[in-house]
Amino acid sequence: MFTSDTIVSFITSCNGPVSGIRVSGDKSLEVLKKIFVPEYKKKDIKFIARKVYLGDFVSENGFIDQGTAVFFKGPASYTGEDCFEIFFHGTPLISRLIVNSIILNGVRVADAGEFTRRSFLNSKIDLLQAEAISEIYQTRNEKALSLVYNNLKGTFSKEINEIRDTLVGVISGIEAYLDFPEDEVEAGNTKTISLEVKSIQKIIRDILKNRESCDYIRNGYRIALFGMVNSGKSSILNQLLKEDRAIITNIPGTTRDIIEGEISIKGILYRFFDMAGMRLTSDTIEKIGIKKALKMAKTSDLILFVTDISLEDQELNLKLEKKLKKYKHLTVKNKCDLKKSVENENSSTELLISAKTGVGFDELVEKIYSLTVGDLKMDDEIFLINERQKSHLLQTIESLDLSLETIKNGYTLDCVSVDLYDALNYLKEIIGEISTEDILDRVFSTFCIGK
Amino acid sequence: MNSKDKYEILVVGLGHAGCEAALVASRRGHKTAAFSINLDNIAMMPCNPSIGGPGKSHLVYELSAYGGEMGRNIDNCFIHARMLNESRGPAVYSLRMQADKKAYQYRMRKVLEGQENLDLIEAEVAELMIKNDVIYGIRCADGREFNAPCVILATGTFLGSRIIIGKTSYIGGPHNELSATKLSDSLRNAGLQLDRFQTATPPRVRRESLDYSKFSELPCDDNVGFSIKYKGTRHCNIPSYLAYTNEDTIKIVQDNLQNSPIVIGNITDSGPRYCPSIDRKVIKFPKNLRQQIFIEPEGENSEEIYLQGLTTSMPADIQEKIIRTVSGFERAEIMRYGYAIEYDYLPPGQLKITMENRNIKGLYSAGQINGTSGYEEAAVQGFVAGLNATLFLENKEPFIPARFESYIGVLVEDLVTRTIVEPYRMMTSRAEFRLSLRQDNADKRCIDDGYKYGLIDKEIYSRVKNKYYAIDKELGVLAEFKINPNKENNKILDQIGSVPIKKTYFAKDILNRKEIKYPDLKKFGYELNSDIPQEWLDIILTEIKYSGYLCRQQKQIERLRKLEDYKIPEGFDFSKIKALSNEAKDNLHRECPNTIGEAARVCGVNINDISIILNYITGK
Repeated sequence: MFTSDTIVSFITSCNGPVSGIRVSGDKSLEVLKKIFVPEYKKKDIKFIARKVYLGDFVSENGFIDQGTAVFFKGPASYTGEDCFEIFFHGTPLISRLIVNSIILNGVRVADAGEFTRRSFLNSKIDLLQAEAISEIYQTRNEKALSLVYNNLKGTFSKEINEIRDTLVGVISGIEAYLDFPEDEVEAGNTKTISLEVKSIQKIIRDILKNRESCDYIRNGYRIALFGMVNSGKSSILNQLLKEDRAIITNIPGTTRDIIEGEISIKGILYRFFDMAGMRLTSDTIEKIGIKKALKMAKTSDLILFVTDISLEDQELNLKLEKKLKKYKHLTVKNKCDLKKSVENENSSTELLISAKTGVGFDELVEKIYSLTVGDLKMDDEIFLINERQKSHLLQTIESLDLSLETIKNGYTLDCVSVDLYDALNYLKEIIGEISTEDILDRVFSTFCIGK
Repeated sequence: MNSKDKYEILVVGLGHAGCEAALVASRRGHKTAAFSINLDNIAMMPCNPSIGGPGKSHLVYELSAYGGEMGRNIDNCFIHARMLNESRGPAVYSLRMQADKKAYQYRMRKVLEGQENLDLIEAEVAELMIKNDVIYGIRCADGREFNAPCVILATGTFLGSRIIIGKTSYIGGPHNELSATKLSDSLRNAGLQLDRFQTATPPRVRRESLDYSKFSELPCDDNVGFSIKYKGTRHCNIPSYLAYTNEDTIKIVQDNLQNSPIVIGNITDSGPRYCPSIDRKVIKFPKNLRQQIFIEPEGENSEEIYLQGLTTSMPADIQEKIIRTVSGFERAEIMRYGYAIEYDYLPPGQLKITMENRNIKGLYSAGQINGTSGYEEAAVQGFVAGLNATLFLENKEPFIPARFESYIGVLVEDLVTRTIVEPYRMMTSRAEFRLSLRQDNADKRCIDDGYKYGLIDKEIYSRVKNKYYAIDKELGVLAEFKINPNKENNKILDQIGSVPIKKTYFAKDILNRKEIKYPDLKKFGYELNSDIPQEWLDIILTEIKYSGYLCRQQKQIERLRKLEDYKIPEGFDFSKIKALSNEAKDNLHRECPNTIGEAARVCGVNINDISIILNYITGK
């Protein structure tokens, strides 16, 4: 059976210097009074909302710990319901005792994401904002974080609402035309309708175009280091990771021979995969190694092809480079410190560096950025779009396409409206909102109709 | 006379809702008494003397197939008819008939008077007799009492009505009838909530005082009709015309707005947006100088002309000035001045979907008292209320048409679930599935119920059944007959002026081509069915041409049907869902719906609330 229970969950780790718990639901205040006795204990204390109290956590068996509590009166709370948050010494024992004491007062453990779900259901946030909140936890670089906050602040919702309003305008014109045949409503012009529909599609397509940027901003780029053994790939990786102070991990990869590392360039995340180098076996390059490395390279956004420029014989490197032709790559000529006379100048696909001295690394970083980000828009105008939102936007475009086709095939506007309403519903699903009266309201405010 | 226990159903008011309610009740064999404040004014059309138009015509077609009277009545006494929207799509084709106002009333009165089990009584009903939230009768202003377990209120705009012209205002009903002043108090005492709406009507001018050379005559359509029985039996006989306002008209209105009740403020602001007065149109769209005025005669035995588009309740002298600015109206004589009327209605959230009151057992209401507007909207509610009263008396399942089955279903569901802020008028945009709910297939959609309730006779019923049997059969043959892409066939296509085919076509697909007509199929060896009249062929062509869209709607309808039956867990606590409005929460809590379908019909619950409830139940 379903009830809107009062729920409890940790909002911090339950094993740290300080741990925190949130409780939400109608019973919040009642439960707080039972498990928490504020300092200067007075009987029947009235918890003032949003005020921090110091006091003792207690159970039926007496004192558990000392800590703080804050009460939030709904709707002015995260979930929109009555809530409280408590903080105490974060040991597994204390955590267990306090949670038990809360549960014994008729509170149930929250499901994953349930606080945010309630916040949505109680209209504190719309669906886009709810999704932005869960996105925060998966965000690992500054640029992505700033976009998530764009969504959280409702910028994306506003954009979708504007598109929706435009579409409502088109539909209301059609409705006025269909429902008031004796009035001289000129909204029935299919050419105008087509143009309006196309302009809506363009706006959505522009949003989707930026989605590529979104993906990269959120997930970063994958860069593969590829080359003969001992060409200096690991040294380059180490130099790169050192170069940037924002090193996050430097852990062995899942397969023994791949090393992974992350750096951030201009707020964008780059993940490097250092593959074991190719070996020379009886004058041929190891085939299995190449196969494996190429497979990896395929899933990369850029391959850094590392060569040892100090070697006299570059034939093998040339052979290897041929194999990379199909893939986006940058040839990095390493160990330039060992070679006295450098013949080639740096070109758009070649770069001279020295992992040992650090020569050429500023250019390398710049080059990696320009080869990956390229023309993609990376400003704050773009929105972080997840799979669900993307699929609704695509469905919107598809329904609008159908409406254009319906018009083209000479069908009447009652049929055209079927597709337009579908498009409208997809748009509404993006923000998780459905309203029914907006069309008629628009009909009467825009058109001089009726007798 | 022992009138006390004679009746089973009492109908208060004999406008369009009352007539249908009284007829369905008595036709189903229940002793019925119907009351009117003035028996000379049965089925009166105090505003525009016309029936139909988009959405409204759909209601009348459906009502006819259920066995209601409105369609038959107008088919017998129209003076002008137009099939509107013919170029705008089959979903919105709609018939509109101009009525001979008096002839309409006479015929309806004759039908009522000739109806078995039905008594007509002239009286002002003043009081409801209610005990323990169950109604047991009514008391008239003159003290007479009538007992019955069911009472249907169909008071129209008469309830506590007030007429407003300029700054003047007085107690009165439409066209200077009496106002039903006492009944409102009785309703209030019974705990019902009342609110005020207003509406207005244009002035009527003398036919001979207009210069018709200045107007354009409106085309009319013949061989049309709402009812299965009388369709095509009568022809248009009096023309209607079209005129336009001009700069002078708008200026006079503008200069005199201080005399308009909506500016003065001596009237409620809650009026119909789709029927704006000329005052309101000028305030809202001042740049629109050329507005249409439809010149519509009120009937063969009347000199009065209705001026659709010139509704106003400005003072009499200003009405005259406004009218005379219009080309052709220079010498126009006003016979009746336009006025506004303000009246009590029962906000329909108090209704069950059967049109029975939520709190008082046996008390039904229908028509303008429920906050609707229009004769057609009133008539179908009268029918639903009357039919449900009889089913209640017979202890049978109520009649609840779904919104994906008929416009009547849309209307009753909207009434009980939406907050009504203006008089509710039917429009095709309110029907989500309008491509499936066409006026041409209203008979198919509704005739089974009409027959089941004994309101459609066997002959009409089998006519409709045979028609759709033939249509379906022909559709089947068309779907199977192949036309191969050979030289011969392509030569025929070329002769017809159509492009050749490269693959095998079915007859139905080739018919989808505009230039190819049904008889052309004969040239491909198709055996034409000579028993199929053009009207049925039109239905066949609509079904073929729009099949893609119809299929899509059918799928959506199936989804809805499934949702209808989606179970709500027992003891589900709606009050915990904060996103629901308080009204929706309270009503859901009180009604305890068992399924999503039932929840959707609870007052104040909109489609958004339903998605929230589903979200809670399914945990998604």
